[in-house]
Amino acid sequence: MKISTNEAHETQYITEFHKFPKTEPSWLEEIRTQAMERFQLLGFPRNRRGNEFWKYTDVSALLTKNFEHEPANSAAVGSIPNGLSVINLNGAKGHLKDIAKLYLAKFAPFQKDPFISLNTALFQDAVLIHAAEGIKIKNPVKIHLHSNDGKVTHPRVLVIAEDGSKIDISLSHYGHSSGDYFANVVSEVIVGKNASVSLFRAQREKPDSFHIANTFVSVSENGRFDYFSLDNGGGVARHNVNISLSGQNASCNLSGVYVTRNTQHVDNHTLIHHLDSNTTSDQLFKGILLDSSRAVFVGQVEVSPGCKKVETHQTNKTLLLSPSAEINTQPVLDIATDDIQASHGNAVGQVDRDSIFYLMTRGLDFASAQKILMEGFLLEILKSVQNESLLLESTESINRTIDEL
Amino acid sequence: MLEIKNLHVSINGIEILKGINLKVDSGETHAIMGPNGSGKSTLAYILAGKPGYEITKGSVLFEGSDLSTMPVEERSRAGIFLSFQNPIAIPGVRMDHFIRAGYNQLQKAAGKQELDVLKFDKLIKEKAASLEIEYSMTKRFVNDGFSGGERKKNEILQMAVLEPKLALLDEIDSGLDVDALREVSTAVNNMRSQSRSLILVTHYQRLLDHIAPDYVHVLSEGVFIAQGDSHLAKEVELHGYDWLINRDIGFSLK
Repeated sequence: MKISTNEAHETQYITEFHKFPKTEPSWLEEIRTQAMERFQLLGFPRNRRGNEFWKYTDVSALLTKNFEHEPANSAAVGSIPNGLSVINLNGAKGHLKDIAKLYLAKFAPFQKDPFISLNTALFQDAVLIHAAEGIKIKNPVKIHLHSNDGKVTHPRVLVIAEDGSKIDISLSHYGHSSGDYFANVVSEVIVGKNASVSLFRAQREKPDSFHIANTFVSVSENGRFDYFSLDNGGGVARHNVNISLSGQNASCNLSGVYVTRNTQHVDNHTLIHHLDSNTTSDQLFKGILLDSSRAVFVGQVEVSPGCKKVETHQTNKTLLLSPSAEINTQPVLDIATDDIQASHGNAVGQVDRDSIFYLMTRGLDFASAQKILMEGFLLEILKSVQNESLLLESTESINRTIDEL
Repeated sequence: MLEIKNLHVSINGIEILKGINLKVDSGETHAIMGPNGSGKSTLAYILAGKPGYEITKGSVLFEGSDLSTMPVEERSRAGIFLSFQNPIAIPGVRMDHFIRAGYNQLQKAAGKQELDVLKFDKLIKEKAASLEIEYSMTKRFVNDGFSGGERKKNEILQMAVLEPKLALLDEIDSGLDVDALREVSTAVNNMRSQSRSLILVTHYQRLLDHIAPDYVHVLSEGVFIAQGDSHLAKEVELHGYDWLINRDIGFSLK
């Protein structure tokens, strides 16, 4: 393949790919080869003009970096209950091996996205989480994914909740050093019939890092997917959440918080496909922006023709605490049915002065009053968290974020 | 305790209070009555320190300290409490959470011990029980989805926790039905003591049937036009504010 100078940067990733030991099963090798070919064709997004998907987020700084590859540093924390498997994909044996083959790379489309194709071609040490049919797990599965200075990692997570199962997962992304690095994450979540998955994602990468994450979720009939995210890190952070509500009565609830400082840039793109009738989706994203930081929220909803009794709601609210902070927020509704209840709204403002005065008449100084109000503003997103342990963890996470401001 | 002399207050350059004199001693309950727009709430706000209210003339002393230069939170720490006419709803913030933060600030300022979550919870539980206010209210988001009566009870419970020396109750009776008015009034009466002064701001006399004031002041267009004891409130009830406004000379007691 001929590579132009413009694309020369991508060659380091291609070289890395060719260093891979040929010890993997042939089906995986085949996928990786296809993915690498796609990455070579697609390349990293260079221009924002004319590129709607990357209109608000500039990743061109990635092209100036030469990161060294390393396998994902993932660790499952705590005990794993019966009926649940949390393993490294390489170690998958027996039926888990078949399951991996059945689902891996089937939902995250490496054909379309350079970051997904890159991850698919190069991921090492993927995490496979499997809940057997009907198994209801009480304690959340906690996965830590960390990065090191000067490195690029491609963490990969595959979650399969078989029919009737229930599982809560917490994913923490963070950095160990203060330098720059690149975490390119892809997660695929398969929610079976009558199954329920909650995913709490905390992104606390270092301020000079690149964090690009893609989460693809498929929800079957009567299945439910709940998602809570906290973005409090990253120099440039982008997260795409793509949900397919593919069976009757499938539902999802996406909530996110972003708190940014200095020159941080955090971009959340959601895309929800309503592919069947009686499907519902709710989205609530809230953020606080300081200094010259920027945030993006694009909430896209597609409803297929013929779907009946579909419900979709989305809200985005942002507090701008500095005149040079900026939010771009955009709902995109593509609805091919009349039988729908849909709403969307966004609001951008400052902390309410009357509320601050109210708290100050109770003895709180301005800064403390503002912090309490910011906490309250953000904690609203957790109102539908049911798992107590997850609620505690996410509440603490948000409180810590505000305390650090 | 509180001494207001020839107080003039403007908002956005418009004079609202035009020469108020008021002296409140420890343990006294004063009622400020008046028609809408007379400046009643402005008086409560200027004492609590609401931004945007400017003293153009006169003085306000609280226990000898000049209030005009004192930040809002320091007034609270000094013992002034404002019960809001329209208590603000703050979704996401639990009442017990923020009022503990306020309580501890007051304790700290007074050189007293701050309370951890458990000890504070015990305190607020006792206060709620003594005022016959539902303790569960403290676990809810501040005034979020509260009825008018619940909001006012919530204010009184906060007052009971903070134990102010001077409580400004701005239209504590507005939006209350008969039962809620009785409950709120009982709670306020339970808080009366020799060391605590109350200023009740109200449009209607009916509140004063429940909370008997020592003194009544009628405010109209930024000045007191009548001052007296609880009988004055009865007269207002009988004849209306116009009757007083059209008279040449007001009552005088002090």
